[in-house]
Amino acid sequence: MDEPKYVPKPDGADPVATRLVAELKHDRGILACKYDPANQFLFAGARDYFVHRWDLDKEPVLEPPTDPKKKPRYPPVPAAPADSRLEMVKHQSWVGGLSLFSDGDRLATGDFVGQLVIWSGRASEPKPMFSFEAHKGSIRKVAVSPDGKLVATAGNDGAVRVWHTDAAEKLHQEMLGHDCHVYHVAFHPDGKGLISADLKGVVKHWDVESGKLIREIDASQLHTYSVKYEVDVGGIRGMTFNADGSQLACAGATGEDKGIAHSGDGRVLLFDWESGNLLKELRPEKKEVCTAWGVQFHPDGFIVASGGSRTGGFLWFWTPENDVAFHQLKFRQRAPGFDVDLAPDNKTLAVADHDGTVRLYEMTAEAIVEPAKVDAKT
Amino acid sequence: MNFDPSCSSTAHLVSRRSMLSNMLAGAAGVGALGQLVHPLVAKEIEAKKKQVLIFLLNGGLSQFESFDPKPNTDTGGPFRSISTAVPGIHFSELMPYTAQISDKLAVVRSMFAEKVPGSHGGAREYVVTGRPPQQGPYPWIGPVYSKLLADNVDLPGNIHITPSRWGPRQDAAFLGPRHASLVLSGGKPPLNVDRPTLFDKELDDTRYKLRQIADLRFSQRRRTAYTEAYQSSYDQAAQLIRQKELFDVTKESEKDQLRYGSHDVGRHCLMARRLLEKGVTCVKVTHNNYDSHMENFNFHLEQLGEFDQPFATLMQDLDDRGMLDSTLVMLVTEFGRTPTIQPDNGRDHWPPNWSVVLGGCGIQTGGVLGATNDNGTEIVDRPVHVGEMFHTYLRAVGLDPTATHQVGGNKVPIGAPERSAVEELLS
Repeated sequence: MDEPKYVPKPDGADPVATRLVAELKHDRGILACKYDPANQFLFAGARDYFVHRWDLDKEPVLEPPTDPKKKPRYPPVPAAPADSRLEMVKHQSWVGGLSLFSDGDRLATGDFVGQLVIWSGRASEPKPMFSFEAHKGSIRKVAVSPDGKLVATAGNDGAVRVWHTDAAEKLHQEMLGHDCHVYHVAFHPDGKGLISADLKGVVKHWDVESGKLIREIDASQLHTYSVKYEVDVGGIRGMTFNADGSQLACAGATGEDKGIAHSGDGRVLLFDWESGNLLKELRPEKKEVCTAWGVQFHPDGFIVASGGSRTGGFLWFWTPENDVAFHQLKFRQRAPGFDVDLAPDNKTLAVADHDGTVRLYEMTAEAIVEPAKVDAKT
Repeated sequence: MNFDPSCSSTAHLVSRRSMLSNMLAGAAGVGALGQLVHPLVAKEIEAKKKQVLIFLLNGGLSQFESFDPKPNTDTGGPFRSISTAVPGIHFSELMPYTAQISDKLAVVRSMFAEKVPGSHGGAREYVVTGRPPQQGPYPWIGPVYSKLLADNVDLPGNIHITPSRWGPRQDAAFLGPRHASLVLSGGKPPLNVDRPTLFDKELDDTRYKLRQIADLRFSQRRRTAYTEAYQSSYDQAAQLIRQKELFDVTKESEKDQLRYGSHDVGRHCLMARRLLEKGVTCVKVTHNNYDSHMENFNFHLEQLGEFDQPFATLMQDLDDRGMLDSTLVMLVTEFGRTPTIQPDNGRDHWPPNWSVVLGGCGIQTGGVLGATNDNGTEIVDRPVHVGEMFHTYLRAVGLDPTATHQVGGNKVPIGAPERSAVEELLS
């Protein structure tokens, strides 16, 4: 069988050239990250009670190598120290749900005690516009509709709720039917459909307007029932549509019954949206004990996912045509990437890392810079 | 090598219980009991009425997600702390029902042990024997209660209600198989408790009496610990056959079955109540899946979500029935979990400090003993060693942990001799 290959488009991203360009430091594990559409800010939720905002214009990039023959030192150092991180205060627990409005001005965040907050995110000192208890127990994920009028939340109470974004506690629809924790939620790009996914790998397709269940998609490969421990393990950790909504990707782990102490094998399931059929079970180059946590479609046609386990973290890259990754980048740090987001320039990836750092990776060939020309972005 | 814990002298055929009874009779003839009976003996007589309920949260309960929460710290996890029935004491929000009965509990937040084996089995053994397993085997606390509180009682003195696929353990060590846990795997009754269909009751009774005669004749000449164990096993089995409904929780009211919940641990807690009410001396309930190296928060949410309500319900029921006055309750786990949150959102094993909870008879409840620092990385007040707790478990029911077991003519201290009970916990 031929090695999976990807040929970059002219002026497109080159995944095989992916390299670390910046580290946005914090001291708590990062759980979620999102670029703002203007590519000025990067927002993140972490294992603390804040939403964090970095001003990317003020963050220095890592010093590029000056001699291609020299082995680059690690970690590379930024050309100038900076910390533009700003703490947005309102939450009462860890923030795992984070979604930006397409207008770029607002964002919705959800925490592990069920509080939903809508922020004015671009203000010099971002303030919550409103907040309320959207679920009993954790909110796992939030999703803003393409037109920005609705926000969906998924929680440990088994409910999926769709709220109007112009006022607090203005419920549009409540979708009930999951029999376990709901791990993820996403709007279809047409804005008419909503999907929610749970611990057992059940994906439910709802009609946004009526709140009625349309169908279910089976992603149960990402769930294992441990007979030995009598527990459900796994679930859908990352989920996204491609731009035209014709494909759905679900990230997680599959594998044998390893109980409650070990990850399975990282996987991304690729579905045809119209039929609901599984197109590919995307897997790493080598069998890795890990979980795929975040997944994104790139407009150039490839799929990227972040993940890992305590043995190491990864970025994996696939084409939709081949179920084996054509490239994988193993992180230097032994930390899984819990989320991955694509920058508006389509050349940069942000990865939310367990070790308290958001790392930015450019999917471009490395420039060799003369020492005198090294300068920090200001 | 076979050893004989009771040796074969006919002098020892006088049972400990009958010896005590004789002493009592003699004492009653000449004066007041309190004046003549040695205080320790009197306490042991009192102890005979005591029962014990043990909860083992198997795998290593996280102290952060239960009894020693550290919210909004680098180690604390996503869950909040909540107020309890005792002003000033907070538990994790994963234990809302237990928080409501905290006045019936004593929380020790400063448990520790040194050189704890890496294995769960070894660490568990340390906790329930009070001694490093490398020094053993020593009998676990359940068999010790069976021996000291329930010797010569017809029913098994030590019943262990476990999840499925949990087999018998050799937990009695030198106390002999008679005191080993009767394991109800999956909460199901022992196998073969139905009388063989070949025999009607009358015929079965005759058969049983014939076996007793043969046993007696045999034991008068060749008595060993094993023959004792065989005899008691038959006796207990006969009792079990007669009382097989003991293990049938469906005999409890539908209301109670609803209150305890339809999941396994709910049914197991209800069975524990039933067994205690029927007079079983020591009942242990094991709840699994706290070994959360991965997804610690999800699994504690699930497991404590099951455990919290039936545990609190059982505590309340025992209190309502007046049984907490004579029943010691222990909630133990083999170690704590790391303050550091691991890459898979897990917490690893952590023997430097963890939490244990006591309640019921002999215990000063409604308080917390010991403390850890702000983010739970170390003990800052009143460290309590697992060996001290073993002494405390015995003292709470009136037993003397500094006494000895008789093993083949040798005296073996019941509790580790270098340790002593935690007086602050005893009422």
